[in-house]
Order: sequence, then structure tokens, then C-alpha cells
Amino acid sequence: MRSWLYTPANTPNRMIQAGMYGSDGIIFDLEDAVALSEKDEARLLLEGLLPLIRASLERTHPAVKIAVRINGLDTPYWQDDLKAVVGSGGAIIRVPKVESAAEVEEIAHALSLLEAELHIPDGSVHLQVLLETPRGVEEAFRIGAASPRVIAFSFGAEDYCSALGIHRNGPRVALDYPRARIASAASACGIEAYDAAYGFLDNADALVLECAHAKALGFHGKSAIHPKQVAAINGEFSFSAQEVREAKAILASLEKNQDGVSSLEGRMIDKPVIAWAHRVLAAAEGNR
Amino acid sequence: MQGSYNDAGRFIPSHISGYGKTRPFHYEDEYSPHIQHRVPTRDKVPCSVTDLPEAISLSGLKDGMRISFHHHLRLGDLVVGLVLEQLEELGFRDLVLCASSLMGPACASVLRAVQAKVVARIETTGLKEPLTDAVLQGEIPQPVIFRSHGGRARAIEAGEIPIDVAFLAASAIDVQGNLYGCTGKNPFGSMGYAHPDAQYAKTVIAITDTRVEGQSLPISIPSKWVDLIVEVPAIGDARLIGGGSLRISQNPLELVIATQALGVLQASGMIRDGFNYQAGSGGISLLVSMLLNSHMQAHHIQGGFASGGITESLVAMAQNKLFHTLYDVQSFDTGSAASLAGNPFHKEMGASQYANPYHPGCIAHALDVMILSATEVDLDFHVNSITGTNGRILGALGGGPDTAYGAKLTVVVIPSFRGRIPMIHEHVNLVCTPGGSVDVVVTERGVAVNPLRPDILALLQASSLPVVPIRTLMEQIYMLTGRPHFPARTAKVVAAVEYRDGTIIDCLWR
Repeated sequence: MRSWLYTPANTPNRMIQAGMYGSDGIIFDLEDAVALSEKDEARLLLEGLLPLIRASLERTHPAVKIAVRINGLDTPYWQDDLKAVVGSGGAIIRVPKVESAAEVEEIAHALSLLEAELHIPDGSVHLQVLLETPRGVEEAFRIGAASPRVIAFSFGAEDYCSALGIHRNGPRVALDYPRARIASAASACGIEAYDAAYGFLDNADALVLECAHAKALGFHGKSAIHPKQVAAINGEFSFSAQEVREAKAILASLEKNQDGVSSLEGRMIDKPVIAWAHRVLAAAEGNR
Repeated sequence: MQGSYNDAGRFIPSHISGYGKTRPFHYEDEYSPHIQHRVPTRDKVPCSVTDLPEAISLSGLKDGMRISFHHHLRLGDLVVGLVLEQLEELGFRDLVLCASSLMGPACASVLRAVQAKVVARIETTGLKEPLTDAVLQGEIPQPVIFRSHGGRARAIEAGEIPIDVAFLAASAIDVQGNLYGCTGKNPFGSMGYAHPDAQYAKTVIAITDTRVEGQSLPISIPSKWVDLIVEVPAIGDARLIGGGSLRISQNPLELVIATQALGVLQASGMIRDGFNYQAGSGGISLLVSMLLNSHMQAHHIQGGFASGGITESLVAMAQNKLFHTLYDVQSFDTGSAASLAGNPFHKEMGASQYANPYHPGCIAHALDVMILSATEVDLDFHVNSITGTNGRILGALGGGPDTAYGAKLTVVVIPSFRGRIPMIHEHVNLVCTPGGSVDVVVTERGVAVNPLRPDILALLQASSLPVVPIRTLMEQIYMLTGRPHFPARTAKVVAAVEYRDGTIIDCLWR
């Protein structure tokens, strides 16, 4: 998944249209985008709209995935959020500010209870975990390994920068460490990693650079906070035509030589290279 | 009520108050011109007068006569208000006001004139608040007649709507009495919509805030068509001509629709060297032009002409040699007005040359691509561009019916819904452009092709565009919005839409 577009869960018009902008996924946000005084209304609205939007997207944009960012586990809202989302058929939950494996276990347990109550197969609701604090970043691997429900990490750069007292738009190197650690931990857990949303909407060039940088560090995609960011994100996180050709050539060379280790134009083709080629072609197929 | 159903499936009364006997729209009539284009020969010496009351007095205007205006100053127009105020002071009654369109402050002025009984009937291509409510509430004594730009020119030339006095704003007038739109204190560019009025009105009163000594080019209206000249402190504010429906959209959804529309043009093979292009004035249409610009540059395509309302962005495309000619019936911003004065590729055209169905060189009939905005579309591909689903008047006919008829490919760009109101229905509230002239409807949720165009359907289906039958598209939208309730109608006609050939295509009922 290359792009996830955030949409406030209290704006029905924008929610209905969110899947139209070409992002691979959309995230209805019950957390930061919704004022404290509107949490209940937004949850009720989401509960009513989610089945409709899902059914509509299945007809027009079946590849688009829907996630919901619930309120954090340190708030009184998250359990009601969870009930509303799962009860209305939501299958991916983005959980903010996770800092420990115990928190994942807590929400996973709550989901199991809900799934049993709603006669949904156990484990069918998945989690994207937002790592937004230095502690969450340091705990990344244990968080990812805490439950098979965890299917992705998402980096939250604003809170991370705030914790360290650095500027979000400062030297890019400042965020290299958390990015690399998150991407590495995601890979170790066999899950995807999405880079933080970029909040400077009018700086399209910087967005492209940030995407390229995150991709180079091993991220699969990035969150977007405005539809106009989607095309750039998709573009940067897609494998290039050259990479697709290379992946095809690698797999083709395997078919010719099934005796074990082979080579292509002087490059040794071993297991990791083959895995890379499969990843490229799977992504290219998924992005069609 | 006596009447019949026309080919758009609409009931048309056989007689409309103030309009007279009606001819219902029939598709086959489109192809059988019964009125030949004719150009009058007039050779006058304009007489300069000092003020408006004297000019009105000399014009021979009487109660019940037809007066006309153009709308080239758009939101900045002060001339309509100035003249109507004067007519009220002079005690005129029951005039027929025939305007190329009404927008901005002109609408409030016309409403005041209606309330003062100066104006009894309005003929226009469109109107805005506060006139809209007055029309719907039946406050205008006689039904409003909506005509397209081409239909208006045809009706004037055919003598169906004889204009007694045309009040024509000019940004400058020279000592010979030639009228200009591109120079002076408030240059607004082309005076194209005023050409038929100037040629055919019994009396032409030109109104300006700038007198110049020497002749310059281009002359919009030659002195031989002008009877009287009035100088006023200000004809309006030309900085406001870029208002109305001319914003460049920042709406990401409209960009999605525009991108799909460009995909339609590409897949249908219409973007090729020499193709002739026009886009309407809606936000999505203007975005399509913007995307087309990049596409043509990237693929080194040189089009033929671009026409209609001309914007700075079209001027830039012509400067980059993406179009060899701009035919300008109306300049949509001050930049295009300046271009008309200086660029040889930028030519002024009159409304008749633009869109009169019986003009031998009708530019609209030479179009390859027309991008059309709409307020509603229906399953028969009929387009409403005047009222919303709730019956309120929102837009205008403009040149939509003319260009849709003439273009080889007419693409309607429209969001699936606005607010929570769906834009595709089984039947539109008001038919403005018949479905027979519309080829493709593009929304953010899918692209629907008129079954009358199997050739286009095959090309689009072979592309990656989300092509769906229009009924499926409507049902998908209704799934989200629910089925709308349509406004109830009474038996009172408050407006009629005259198709470009003079037949009645639909009526707006109170």
C-alpha cells in the first residue's frame, strides 16, 4: 500500500468522496481531526456511513482499503470507537501513540471479545500501529511482534519531533534514525511501514523528496492529509519500470536455471534477490 | 392546458403568455434551417449626444418596446442599472428586456425595474440572484425566455425578437463613432454578443466612459451601426469581468473529474493536430483546459482553434502555438481583453458567427471537442444548465446547446453530487441541451457514454477509464445520497427554454 489518505470522520461529504482520489487506502480519523466536543457525533456518523461507503467503493474502486484511526488508549473514547468501527464492518484500525507491546495486547484482547460478540472470525480485524514517540520507536519490534493482528507501522513525525524539540521541516537527517528503526522493525515482523504525513501542503517538491527518502529507507508508503498529495506519493512509492523489468528478468532467469544459485548479467541471484523481485512484481500488479 | 410532448419528452403548452404560439422541439428540425442568415446593410452617421435622457428621447423608445444589453462587463456592469434607472425616471412601462445574459449588479437593477413596472418581460441566456427567486415566485409579469447565445443571435436576425433600442456599453469610442472593447478606462475585450444587437436594432445607443481621438484596431462595432453616443463617468469595473463561473478550481474532486475528462479526450483520439476546442466557464471545464495545456505541450500537439469565452490560459496556449487561432466572443479576464487588442491570432467574433445555427460559417459547428458544465444530467443524457434539482435557478444556457450540437465530441463534466444532492437523475428538472447532442458524461465515480455513440463507447471501453452505463452510475450515486424528492409543479409557466432553432425544448413551472 503506497498511500493512505486521512479524512476527518465528521465530514460526510469528504468521507464519501475520499476514495476517489487515487490513494490505495483511506483513513477516517476519529482522533486529532475531531474536536473533543464532537467525538460522539463523529463516531455515530462513521458508524452509519462506513457500510455505505464500503459498499460504494466495492463497486467503483474495489482495490481501495478503508482504515479508521481511533482515539488513543489513554483516552476514554477508544473502546466506543472500536465497537463502532468493528460493528459497522471496519476491518483495519489505526491505533495512535502506541508505546508498548502491552497496549497492543490490550486492544487485541478487546477486539477478540468484540469479534466473538459479533460472530466475526477471531483475528479478522487488523491493526496499523502509529509509532509517534521516542519510546514507541524504541519498542517497535516488540510492538509489531505482540499480535498477528498488527499488519503495519505508521510513523507519526509531528509528535516525535515535538518530543525531541526539533522542527518537523528541519534537516531531514533528524528523522533518519526513527524512520530506519521503524522500517527495519517492520521488515523483521514481516509487516508494512508507512511514513508520516507531510503537513506542508504547498511544498510539493519537499513532499517528493521526503517520499523518495522514506522509500530508500525501506518504507512501503506514506500517509497523506490532502488529496493533492496522493499522486506524488503513489508515484514515488511505485517501483519504476526499470525495476519491474529487472524483477521480471530475475524470475525469468530462475526458470531457465533451476539447479540452484543462478546469475543475471553478472549479479548473483539468491534468495533475498528473488524475494525482492517477487515484492516488486506483486506491488506492480497491485497498483494496476 | 393545451400542448404536446416534444422530442425531449417534455410537455410544451401550445401558447405561452407574452411569448405566443410555441413550436415544440423536434430532433429532425435541427437539420432543416428555415431561416436564412442575412446581414442588414446600414450606413449611419453616429450623432454624439451629451446625456442618456436625450439619447433615449431621440431613440424613439416607447412603452412595450424591446431594449437590449450585452453582459461583457459581467460582474462589473453598471450600464444596465444606469439605463433602467433613467427609463424609470422617464416613466417608461412594460418594456421587454433582451440581454445576452444578466449577472452581478445588473440583476438587482432589473428586479427593481420589474417592480417599478418598467420591465415586463426578460429574455436572456441566464440570470442570477436576486432575479432568480423573483422568476420562480412568478413576480415577473410574463415568463422569462431563455435563449442560448446562438439561439439569441438567430432570433434577432430572423426578426423574431426585433430590438427597438440597443444600449451597448463600449470601453472606448473614437471620433468616428467606432466602438471598442479593448481600450479605455474599463477594457472588457470582445463585444461579440453585442454584434447582432448593433446590426439589427432599430436604434443603437453606445455608452462609454472613454472617448478617443484616433482610430485604433480592432474595431468591435463600426460606426455605421451606431446611432447615438453617450458618455458617462463609468460603464463599470473591468476588474470584475473575471468573476462569476470563472474561478480556477482548487477542489481536488473537480481535478479528479477533469483528469478523467482529459482521459476521455485522449482515449477517443480527439486530441490530435488541428483539433478545434472549446470549454465552458465552469470550474471543472477550466481545469480540463489547464490539463490539456500540459498534455499538448508534452506530446507536441498543435490544435486548430479554441473558441467561445477566452481566458488568459487559452491566450498562453495560443502564444505557445498550441492553438493557431482564438475566436473570442467574450473575454473572460483582463488578460484576454489585452490579448485581443494586441495578438494577431486572437480574433473577435460575433454571436452569430459563433453559434447561430444558420450562420454559414458557424464556429460552433466546426468544433471537435466541447467540454460542457451542467447542473444536472439525466438517463437520456439531457443536460440542465439553468436550474438545480431543487428547481432553483443556478446557471445559464450560455452557448451550451449550440456547441454541444456542433462539436464532434461533447463531454459533460459534473460531480456525482453537490452537497447531498445527486446530479444524475432519471429526468432532469429542466432540459436545456438535448441528450442527442451529448456524447459522454464524466463524474468522479465513472464515465457514461451515450448509446448513440457506440464508436466512442468502444474506444473508451478499451481504455482504463471506469466506463459504466449511466443508469448504473445513477444507482451508485443514489446508494449514497438516497433518491431525491423533486419539487412539486404548478400549472404556471414562469420561464421557457427556447432551443437554438426557435422551438421550445422545456418550460420551468412555478
